[in-house]
Amino acid sequence: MRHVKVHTAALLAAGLLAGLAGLAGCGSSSDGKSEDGPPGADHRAAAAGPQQPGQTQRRGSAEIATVRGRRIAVHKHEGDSAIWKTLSSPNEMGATRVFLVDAQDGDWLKVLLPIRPNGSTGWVKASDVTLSSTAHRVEIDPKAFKFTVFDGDKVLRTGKVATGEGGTPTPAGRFYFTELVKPPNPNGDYGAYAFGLSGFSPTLKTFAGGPGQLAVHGTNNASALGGKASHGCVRVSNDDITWMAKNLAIGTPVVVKE
Amino acid sequence: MRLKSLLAAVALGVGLAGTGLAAAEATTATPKPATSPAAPGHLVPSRPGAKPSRPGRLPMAVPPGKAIPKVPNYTG
Repeated sequence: MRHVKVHTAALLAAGLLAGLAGLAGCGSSSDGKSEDGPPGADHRAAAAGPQQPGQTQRRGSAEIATVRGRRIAVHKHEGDSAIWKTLSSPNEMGATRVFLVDAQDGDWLKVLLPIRPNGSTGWVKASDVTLSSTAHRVEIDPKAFKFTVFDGDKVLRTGKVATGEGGTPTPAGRFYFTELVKPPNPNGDYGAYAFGLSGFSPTLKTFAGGPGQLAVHGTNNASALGGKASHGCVRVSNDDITWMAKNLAIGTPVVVKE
Repeated sequence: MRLKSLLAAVALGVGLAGTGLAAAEATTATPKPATSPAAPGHLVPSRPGAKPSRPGRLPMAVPPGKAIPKVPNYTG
């Protein structure tokens, strides 16, 4: 009888230990990693303050905001009830309006605006746009008369450029493609294609009936590539602009170095 | 008597272990999707009724397939 009691007690203890071990498993996930924070921690971090785009995307990507409606209200400051500017979509060239996103804070986006002065920014409501991203970017080096297209850190293509002459320089800055235009005459001054840029000439307020808008476009004078030849636009070879037209999206960032 | 006590003890132990495992499984079960799931890669709203405030992984921009046929008026 004494043996029975001892055995019974031992088995009861073993059973209790097994049960407690099972309950202890509640605090750990199946892969052995513990939960570091409460559910939704990421959401709070995302809403904590303005963030540079790309923090939650793959490295080197840029966010593009495409306007949903026929126009969009732009505010000077985040959360302003007053509308600073109203921009149409399609834009003046007939393309759906896009912006390059500079920062995001909750339901507001700070965007680079395609207006003078170059580098202007404003705030739009996230609900007024559709967001997408691209890992592509174009860098223009006016000193080397060279462009480089990147996909993240990878170089996709390089080539020669012609930039603005002394009186009509190509300004340095951060821009983006606003539209892609196919000129009716591929053998004309603009070559096979032209990507409009969000920047403007610092010296020409108007040009050819337009607002002095900069562009990256082809050329009918390839021999001028590698030097200063334009009125501010960035000229590339027709092969290069055709490749860009097939591979780069509207909204792709374009940086013109000093 | 011995046999009955042994069997009772084993049954009790196994029962307790089973209860513990069931409780553990219930708390670590895979969460079910919300009734209106957000797009893949997007964060869900942090409060009821709020719109997603921060996309986690945005769709890649589609390369332009169609250029606008137009005479450009850029600075050239």
